[in-house]
Amino acid sequence: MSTTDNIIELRHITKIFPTIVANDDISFEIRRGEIHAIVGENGAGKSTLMNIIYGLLQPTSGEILLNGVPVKIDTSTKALSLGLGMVHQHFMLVQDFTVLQNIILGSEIRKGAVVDYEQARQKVMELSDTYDLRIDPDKKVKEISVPMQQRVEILKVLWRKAEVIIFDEPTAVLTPQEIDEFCEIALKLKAQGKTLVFISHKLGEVMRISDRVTIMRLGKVVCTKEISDTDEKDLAHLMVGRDVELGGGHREPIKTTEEVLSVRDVSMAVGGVKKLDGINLSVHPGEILGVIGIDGNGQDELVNAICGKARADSGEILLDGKNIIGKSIKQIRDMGLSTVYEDRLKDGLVLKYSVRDNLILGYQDRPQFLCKWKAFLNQKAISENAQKQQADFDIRCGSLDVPARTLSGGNQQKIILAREVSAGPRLLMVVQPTRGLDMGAIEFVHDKVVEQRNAGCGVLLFSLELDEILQLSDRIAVIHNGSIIKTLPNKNVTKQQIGRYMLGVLDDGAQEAEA
Amino acid sequence: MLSFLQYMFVATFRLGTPIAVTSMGACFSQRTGINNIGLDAQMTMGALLGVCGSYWFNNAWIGVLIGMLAGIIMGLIHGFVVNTCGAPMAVSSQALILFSEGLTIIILFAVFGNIGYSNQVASISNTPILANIPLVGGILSQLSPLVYLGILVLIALNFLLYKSPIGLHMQACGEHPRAADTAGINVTLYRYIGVMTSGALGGLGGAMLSIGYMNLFQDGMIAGRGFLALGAISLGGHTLRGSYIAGLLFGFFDALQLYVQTTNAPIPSQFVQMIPYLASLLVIVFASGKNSKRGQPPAALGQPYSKISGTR
Repeated sequence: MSTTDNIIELRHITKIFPTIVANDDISFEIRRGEIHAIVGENGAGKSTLMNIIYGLLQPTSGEILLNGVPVKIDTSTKALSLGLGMVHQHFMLVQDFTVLQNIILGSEIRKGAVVDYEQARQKVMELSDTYDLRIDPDKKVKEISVPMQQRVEILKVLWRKAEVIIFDEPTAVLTPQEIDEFCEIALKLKAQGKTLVFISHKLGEVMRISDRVTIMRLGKVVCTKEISDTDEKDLAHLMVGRDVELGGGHREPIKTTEEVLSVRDVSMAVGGVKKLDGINLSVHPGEILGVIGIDGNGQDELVNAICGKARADSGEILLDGKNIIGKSIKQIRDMGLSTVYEDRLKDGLVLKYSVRDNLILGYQDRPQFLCKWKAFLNQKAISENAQKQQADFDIRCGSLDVPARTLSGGNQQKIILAREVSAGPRLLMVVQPTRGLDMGAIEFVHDKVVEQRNAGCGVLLFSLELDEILQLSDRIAVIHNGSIIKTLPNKNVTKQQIGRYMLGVLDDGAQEAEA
Repeated sequence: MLSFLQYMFVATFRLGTPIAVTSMGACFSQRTGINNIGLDAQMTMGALLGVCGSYWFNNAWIGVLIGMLAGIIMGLIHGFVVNTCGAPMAVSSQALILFSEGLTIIILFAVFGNIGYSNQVASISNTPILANIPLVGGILSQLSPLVYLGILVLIALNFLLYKSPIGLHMQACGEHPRAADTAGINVTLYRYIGVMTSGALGGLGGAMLSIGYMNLFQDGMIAGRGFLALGAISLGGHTLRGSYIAGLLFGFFDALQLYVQTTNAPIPSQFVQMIPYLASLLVIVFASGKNSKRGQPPAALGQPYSKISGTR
């Protein structure tokens, strides 16, 4: 194969940061017109490498060849002019601008001294038709959905005539249905001759759309493979460096009919809109009940009603037989509920506090952490607690005194899980516990959740990832429009079946068969 | 009655335009992301240096230019401190206000040998050329040409910000500097332009008070009008036109206050002088209720930006 079939060639790229070698002698090539996936765990160096290609960082050594010619890419403006575009994970969109303004920002069409919006709209619409990227040019970005925002980002790079489009974790923010749409768009872009570089640690999508895949681990390239020569299991092994088993492993069978949580006919309106409409569900000790549904069908409100952030309007929520509606968050927690919230940065941690202090957050007034008339914190006990949790939960940090902000997402989640589990809950509520985590960390979280289940704790799992629900749950409850429309044991169920329930379609016309 | 209306019309523009142009300038700066809170400093320097310029060259127009230049320098300092050094905008502004108060006394003493007020200098407080217009000419000619200049600047800046590519770039800097940067826009440069424009207009506003309305400078004559201008921005819904109109509204209350004082009503003058400030406070309270539909400040207002670490 001649070199000009390679649109980008990386030769011995090394990037050394003061404390870490982020990229270590990286060499591979990206072929013209292919979808090339780059997979690896968090911290494998994928993002650093992409930032080097896109001109946001300079390599310490090594060179980049574009169409066989060595190039120096020192700014993103330069990268754009060379035909390289990037769709960032956190969209670079001005919320208060219209879609059209965002697309043309920085390369406007002018008519004299003014922006020629008429002509720009016409050209943008032609472009969006070519790639079937449906957008509404006159809506403000803050008014449109996340997938449409992503399409606007794609149009932004197409507007700048990019030949190579780099996608940084494009599916991290999307729901399963939206991921399907994204895959179609990616294939369409490829069909029109664009080259796509696709960074991900979600292997399902990688297998679905890529032609080739480069696996990175700890700053090095492990290998580059044709997608036909590999499978998810193989990729996971190469990424993590060992076999990965999700789903938490061995389970003890449930022996009890007792209910640790029982939600009966709970309804709640938020801002005049009925968000929960007669919710019924129960969790037994020693089981994991997985609640699945399309985002926005009442999951957040149900979580808030159970943990005490919001007050249900009617019905009852029994924790160990006692109604908790109207009780404060703290009272409910003292009654035996531990919660791992969806947004760990906002609800789970105080980012400026040390790892040590985060490990007792919310439990700082428990007797074991106090001394001297219960007026002072017992620093010795707090340190011992932190050391124990660090060992038990494999929290990797330079020291227990560093701020939680400096840890990776996986280690941050371990802090929260360690804290909530060590309180010895009767019910553990985990909301999207593995969002944004890499495979090694997901495996760890799954193991710990199942460990709690086996120890007799009831687990209420909320997730938007169908795979995760299927891997972890003993029973599955499907939430749709604020009601649990189906509860079934996790035996011989298919993704398609659950997918239909999530859309509100019941197969036999039967309502709510309690399993 | 007619004379009252005439008086109020003229006085509203005379007293309101300095606030309005200052407010418009600060709104412009906010749109690029820099909050210029120290408007009092720029107005004070504009008013004082305007008088000095007029005194040195015996030409009020040169005074106006020098006043604007003084405002630009104050804006430049603010820009350097917050934009390049990344210091908090409130601290920088406060320092500039204190600095300008001290500097005022030194300059007054050095130039006029006085510490409370300047000499009387050439001023431009009316526009005789308009007197020939039938019916309204009499009233219009009582206003300083600077009042008309203010309106022209409003039209020009409005065009620049909302119609031109430069304006789109500027707004992007205020809303999402990282996005602007990745689109190849020089955030730092546009923010400097924004804050210096605000400085120039603050200086112009100050000069309007000293040589466009009166013909001398008095220590303390700005009397917090810079802060009124800041309030006018939110009252005006964070648009240039809105800020300008809100600035004129504050001028209206000021005019009303002066009128009440001339009527010899049996109210202590201290209370009468409170009218513009109280009225502004009330208007802002009522206009910024929870359900208010007025515009929002830019998303990244007050956040320093650096290429490496983004906004903080």
